[in-house]
Amino acid sequence: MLGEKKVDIISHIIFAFLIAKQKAFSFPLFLGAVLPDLDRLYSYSRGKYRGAKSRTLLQELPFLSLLITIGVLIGQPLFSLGITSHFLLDFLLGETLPFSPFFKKNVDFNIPIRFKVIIGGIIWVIGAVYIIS
Amino acid sequence: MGYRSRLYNKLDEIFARLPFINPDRLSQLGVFLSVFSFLLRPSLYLSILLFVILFLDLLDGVMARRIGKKDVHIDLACDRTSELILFSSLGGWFILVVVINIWLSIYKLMKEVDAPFILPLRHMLLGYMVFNLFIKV
Repeated sequence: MLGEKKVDIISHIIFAFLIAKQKAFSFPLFLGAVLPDLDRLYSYSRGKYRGAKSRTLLQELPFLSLLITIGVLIGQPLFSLGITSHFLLDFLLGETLPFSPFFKKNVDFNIPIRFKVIIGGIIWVIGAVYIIS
Repeated sequence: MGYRSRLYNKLDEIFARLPFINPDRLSQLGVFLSVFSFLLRPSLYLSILLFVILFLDLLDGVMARRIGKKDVHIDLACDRTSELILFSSLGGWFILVVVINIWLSIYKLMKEVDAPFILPLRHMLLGYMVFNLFIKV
């Protein structure tokens, strides 16, 4: 079901910091990486940490492109980078509706769950090594 | 027949002998390869990477035509995502051009038109980088 093939938020945060090559904490980058999943706060507040549906306007290219524009215009490119990294990870590993709300065409590359787990694990390990080093 | 159609027909003939590969997988591979642009500064390596990405984009179109695939959603989404990554890695205001391209893609899908007005950003970037390399040499 749509939204159940989601990448976890920790992977999103680590991935954003990795591609931005940021060792120090950066709030704009962090915010950009978590903002598209903001609607999940509702699920978390209900104790649903896994398999919760999350695919709203916040998640897709048209709205995200506006957020990216705002990030650049206010002089916070790391915020835009966080947004981009979030969409990228969802797009490659999850299930998206890239041109929603204009088109409800579902894009899913059907990557086997074990590969997703492996990629997620690799991101966590590289992130941990990167932070420790 | 326009020059673009002639070019595509020629490419179809050339690639017809290739084994069939799922065009969506090729598009996905292009997006995946784009991630490596964050590791490479604008250089010869990035130019080669960009060339490979563009070749995959060309190939997925050929494969899609071979199977008569009309749906361009995945192709457009992959192209825009690839551009987002590539231009994010460059930093600065370049990313705004990709935003324009995203909305042009939506317009293309809405009007169901063949839209040559979608900016060939990756081609332009490759041209710019190759030009820069020649200047340095």
